[in-house]
Amino acid sequence: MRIFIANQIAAFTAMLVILLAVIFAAVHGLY
Amino acid sequence: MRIIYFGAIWIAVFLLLATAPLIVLLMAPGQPGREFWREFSVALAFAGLSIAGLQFIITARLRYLTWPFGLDVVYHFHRRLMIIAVFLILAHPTILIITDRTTLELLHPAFSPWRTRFAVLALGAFAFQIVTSVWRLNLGMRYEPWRITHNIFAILAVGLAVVHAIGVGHYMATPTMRSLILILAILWLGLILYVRLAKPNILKRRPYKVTKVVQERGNAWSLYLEPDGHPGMRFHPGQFSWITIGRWPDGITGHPFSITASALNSGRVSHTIKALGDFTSQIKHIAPGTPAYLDGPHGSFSLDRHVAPGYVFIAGGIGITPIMSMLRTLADRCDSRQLLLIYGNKTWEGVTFREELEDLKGKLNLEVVHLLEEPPPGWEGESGFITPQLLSCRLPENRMEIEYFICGPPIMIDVAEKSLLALGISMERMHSERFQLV
Repeated sequence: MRIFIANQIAAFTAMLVILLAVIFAAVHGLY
Repeated sequence: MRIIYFGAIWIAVFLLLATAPLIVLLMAPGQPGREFWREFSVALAFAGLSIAGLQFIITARLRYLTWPFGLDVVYHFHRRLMIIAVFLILAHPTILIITDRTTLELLHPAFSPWRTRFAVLALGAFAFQIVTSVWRLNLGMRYEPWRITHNIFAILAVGLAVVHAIGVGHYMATPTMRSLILILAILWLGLILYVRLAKPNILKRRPYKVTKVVQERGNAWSLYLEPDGHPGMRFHPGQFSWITIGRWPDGITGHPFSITASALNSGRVSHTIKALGDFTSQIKHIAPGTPAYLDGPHGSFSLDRHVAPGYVFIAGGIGITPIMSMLRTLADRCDSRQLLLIYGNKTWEGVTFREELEDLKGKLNLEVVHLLEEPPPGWEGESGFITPQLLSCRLPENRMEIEYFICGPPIMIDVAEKSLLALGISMERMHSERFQLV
């Protein structure tokens, strides 16, 4: 159970930072 | 509920810190934008570096931080995160090279600027960390040298990457990013100093003394310790501690072992250790009176956190140790709840605590089911491995209301959890302890 949750949080972290990186690049890199 | 709240707060703080550089960049970029892929790769690298830096906090064994989750899961989380962080960091040069081939010219030894050299060294250090951690046993690396190199390369990798970012200067030249990196660097450095200097000093002031070493069945040895000049530590049955024997408790050379003593033992503790490796094979040679230091207690694998009308324990081999602490504590508490222990071993002669478990059956409402891989001739008990059929026959009728504690080799834990799930037991009622922290 705890391992499952840890894996989910790790995967969520990866998706969150990639999403933020895309938003940043789209907002800032497409001036 | 307190555990859930604390866990949720720590996860939120972690996510905030992991994304902090990206949030700062989004809110106050401070520099003119460049093309999409360059900005995307830079953002990924900052995120990867931030996650990598956070590992100094995650692996610092701060008890207030780890107790909602259990240290075994925290280390599992650390391994997963570092693989993600290194992928994010590697994506940075990969995207730059794919989208702009002139980037490759920066790697030419004759023209390479120092910031690029730092980046290459940082990538090498990160790659070294992943390879030596994931394949440590395949590479034949012993635990202690690995711990030392792992700590050194962690600082090197993050330090070199920060110097590279400062060298590039684009976003690092902005006051907000400079302030953020400065705050994070102070935090990382502070934690390194705490773990390597302050904590060993605290442990040094709370020494223990080996009172005896007793041989157990199954090539295991029980190490008995008593506090030397202090009341000892309070722990919950099922928890573990890091043990350093006879030397400065530097936080690197300690080894984690489950406490097998009763939690009501007034400061005295015992750990039962199977002779499997370099350190564990030396336990039998430790002389009474030898000083020892305990970093702990750690771990969330304890029935004290899960009140239930009964408990089922599933142990494989030396995985009995934390369960033994729970059983001894329950006996000392005169607990009358229904208990079932399913205990798998290779041979009957190698069943650690075999005789004491028989004694405990007289003190507790305990049923013990021995499961042998190689049963002796005439054996009438269970044989083979954990299966849904075995559990279905053996579990009590109130199986949906009780809690399950599983400890043993990872493959046994996986099989036991899947078997319990197949019987309709909810995942929330299963608690496991995975010994293999590294």
